[in-house]
Amino acid sequence: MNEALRRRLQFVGALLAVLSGLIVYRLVALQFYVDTAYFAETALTEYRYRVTIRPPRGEIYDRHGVLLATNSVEYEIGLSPVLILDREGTAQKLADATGLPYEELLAAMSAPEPYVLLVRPAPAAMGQRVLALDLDGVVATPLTRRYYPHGSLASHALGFVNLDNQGFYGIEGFYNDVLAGRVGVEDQSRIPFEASPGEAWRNGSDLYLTLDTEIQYLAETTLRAALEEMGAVSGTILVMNPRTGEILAIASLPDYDPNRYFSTDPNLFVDPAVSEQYEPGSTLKVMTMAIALENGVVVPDSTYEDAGVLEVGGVEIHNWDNQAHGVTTMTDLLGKSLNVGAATLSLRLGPTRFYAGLDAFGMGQLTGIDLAGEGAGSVRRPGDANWFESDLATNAFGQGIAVTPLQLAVAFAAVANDGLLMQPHMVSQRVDADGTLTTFEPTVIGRAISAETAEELRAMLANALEREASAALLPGYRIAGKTGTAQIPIPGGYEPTATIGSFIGFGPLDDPQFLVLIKLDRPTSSEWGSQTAAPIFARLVSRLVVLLEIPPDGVRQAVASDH
Amino acid sequence: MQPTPDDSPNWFRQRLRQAPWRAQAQGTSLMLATVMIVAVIGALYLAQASRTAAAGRRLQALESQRQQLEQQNAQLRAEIAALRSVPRLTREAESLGYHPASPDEVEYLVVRGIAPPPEQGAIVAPAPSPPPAEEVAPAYDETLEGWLSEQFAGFRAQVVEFIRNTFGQEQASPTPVP
Repeated sequence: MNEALRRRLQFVGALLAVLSGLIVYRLVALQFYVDTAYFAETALTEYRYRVTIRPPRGEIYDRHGVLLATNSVEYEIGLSPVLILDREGTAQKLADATGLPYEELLAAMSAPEPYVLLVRPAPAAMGQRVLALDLDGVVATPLTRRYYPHGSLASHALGFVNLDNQGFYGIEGFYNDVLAGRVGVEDQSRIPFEASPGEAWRNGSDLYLTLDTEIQYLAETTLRAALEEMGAVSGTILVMNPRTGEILAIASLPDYDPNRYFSTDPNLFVDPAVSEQYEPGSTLKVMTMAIALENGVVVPDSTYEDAGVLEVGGVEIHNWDNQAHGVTTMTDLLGKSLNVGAATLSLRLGPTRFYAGLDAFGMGQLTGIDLAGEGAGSVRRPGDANWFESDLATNAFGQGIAVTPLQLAVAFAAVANDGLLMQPHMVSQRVDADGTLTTFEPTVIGRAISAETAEELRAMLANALEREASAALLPGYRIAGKTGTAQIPIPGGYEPTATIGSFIGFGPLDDPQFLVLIKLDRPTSSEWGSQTAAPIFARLVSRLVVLLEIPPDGVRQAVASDH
Repeated sequence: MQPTPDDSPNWFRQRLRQAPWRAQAQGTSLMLATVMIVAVIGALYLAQASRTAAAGRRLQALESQRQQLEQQNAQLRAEIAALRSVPRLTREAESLGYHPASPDEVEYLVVRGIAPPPEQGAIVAPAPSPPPAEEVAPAYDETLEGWLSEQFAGFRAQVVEFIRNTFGQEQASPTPVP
């Protein structure tokens, strides 16, 4: 009996040993010999997953630290019906938190879908209330989006960011890589839970702009009122520091709210101040005069005989009033804005010196401003298939040549800045995630004219304004500037009645601290820039000197004489 | 008299024949000891894996909490900025009866001997962005072997210390048994 039992036990033991051996053999084979790559990869995909970390986008501030663009959170609130045990209770709590009807929520919880979307996007407060409830089967997923607290203020300058954290236009577009930071990728394991170092992620850098929010608001409200008062369809105001190239305000209307870019006409995204070109008209006479003075063709006291008409290359050049002005000084040429006079100067210069002078002022070239979508303007030159002899004359008074408002402002600023062209820029400082501070210093990009020529021209411009009792004048402050009335080109010619009225000026004359360009498109109150843009300039500058704390000339000169 | 280990080379076989249950007992003991050792090793590994998993879960929860707090901070900054926006402040000021000052409403007081302050450049506010991302700690990759080695080293150090304190410096290491 014992022997039989012993043999049976031995047999069972042997059988179990064989089975165990087979299992061990299979385990070893699977681990080391049988398609290990397949099983290893399958195991990895089962318990390891890749997490992409999108760092917060850098914020944008104005020159005084006022927040212009930041990141806010909205939520997507949804539920999984199959995971909800207490439907009535959950529906009631959700109704209290979201404001959605109780019956609607109850119906959603009975839906056959595995996931039901309730609200998207939900405000942050609502999302956080739902999260605080911690309800089974209910999820509130945060959605980060770009937020512009000031709405449409400086919309063209800022641009916008889409849901993929991609910036377009303006600062958001130009500095997208800087603001977006670096996306990080991490491999994480569910079994066991772990966090392993992956590709390092980096927060986006913050940018401090040269913009002054108060001046920007002033420019936009002034422009909005101007469009309504003058019956213009659109316009641009640009305020900059001619000594440094800092852009203090850049406003164009119509504009848009970057918080609602998705429902905006895409044509509004383009910033007319830097992207759209136009024929500058009489404002370009300042450049013509500067080039003539610089090349010694004339001096401030020079005169010419204005016959009221000048024929060049088969084209007759007329003054705006179709009048002859006889012996005319250079200052009166500017003050009365005489086309014949300007054409006379360019003819005396000749095409080589004239177009070289325009090049020195940056006409037809990008300024390099740090905004997306800048346009280069257009200058036809001798040798171009579409250049004609008459262009030498018409270009002198701003016809047949195209510039952007920014180009014209930068060129004019050289007159205020002793002949030096400054790099226009929007960003003054950049703060990286690790605290590194980078400051962008004012940069000279060229010399258009000598300091002596610039000084002479400033005086001529100021005298011209005062002689004509320009509407741009501001009591207590000497201003230099020039009006412009430009026709609008169409195929085969120009529009018969519509114009672009503009004024560009700077001050104070003895110490220029601001330059302002006003451009009004198709004003209906008057076709002349002297009657549309010039008074707007005075209105804006009267507030600007207060914001910039610039005392009247008498006060400044009294202070200067004491030191 | 029972044969002794020195009496016969077949002493072991003799003893087994007299008490065969001793072989079985020894085999069983050996098997039990093996099972217990395996169980202890398994338990140690399980304990370590559990600690790792718990730490990982805690880390994930903290990450989630941090993200939530950062989002709340960002939301608050956005709300503050909206409340301080120029259009809103201007409307509030105008509703209180204020209006933008014109140049002739501003009086400048010239004080002889005092120079005006230099023009201030852009003011950099304290960085409101979240603090720089800290370096991700190295992965928790301690193995059972490493942990055992560490425990053994610590135990050995304790024994050495105990012997040193008990028997003095000249007997810092245990005397080998002849």
